[in-house]
Amino acid sequence: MRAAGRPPPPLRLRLTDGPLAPQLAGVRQEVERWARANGLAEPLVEDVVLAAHEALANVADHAYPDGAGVATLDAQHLDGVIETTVRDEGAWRPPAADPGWRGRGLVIIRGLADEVDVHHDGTGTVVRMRWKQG
Amino acid sequence: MTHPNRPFAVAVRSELGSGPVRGAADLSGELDLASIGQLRDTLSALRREGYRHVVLDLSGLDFLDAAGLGALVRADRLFRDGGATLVLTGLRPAQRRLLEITGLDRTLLVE
Repeated sequence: MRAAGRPPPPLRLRLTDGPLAPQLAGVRQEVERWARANGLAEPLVEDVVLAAHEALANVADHAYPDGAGVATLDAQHLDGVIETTVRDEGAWRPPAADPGWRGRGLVIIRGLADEVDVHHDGTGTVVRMRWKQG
Repeated sequence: MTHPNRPFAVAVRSELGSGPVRGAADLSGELDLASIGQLRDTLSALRREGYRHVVLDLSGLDFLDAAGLGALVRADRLFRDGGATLVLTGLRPAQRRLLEITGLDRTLLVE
């Protein structure tokens, strides 16, 4: 449902402003607006928003010791494929006392998206989520 | 999802005349990692007051994430450990799907 000839611009959000958790409601609104502007069907809008949120919630919950640090979210819609990518520059730490959300957050992401890659190394973690439309 | 974001709120309704035994609480707004403390505090208070059976109505909830599900699971355990029950009602199809994805449909009581 894209306007012919002109791909809608990708979305890039860079969160640098202190603790991440309280910023996520605003991020969800931005992703929702972007998804709607790209003509995504309603159930897919909700899935893309929730999956992006869970990836960022993982960053807020464990990548940085105090829940504050850099996180970026990229979303693009190209040739019928929606791809969102969440990156942090923190450490992939196994949870000390796992409250269950982190494991569950990834389960939710994998359940919502068609394809998910998680990559972590010394510089941070990248979670890439893809949906094929139609 | 509606916009703008509505903040999370939990409103407790106790059934008059039944004493602090059966109660209900309506959740509204967005339940996420930033707002789960409010739900935890309310449900802990209901347990301390002696409620034996509490129905949580999720129909006003605009957003529910893994952290919110985690808070519901912990509340469910708290109630069960005290021989009480916590029941979820008013779930939208998307929320039911979340329970299925996470396998929590086999743990939590949903009506």
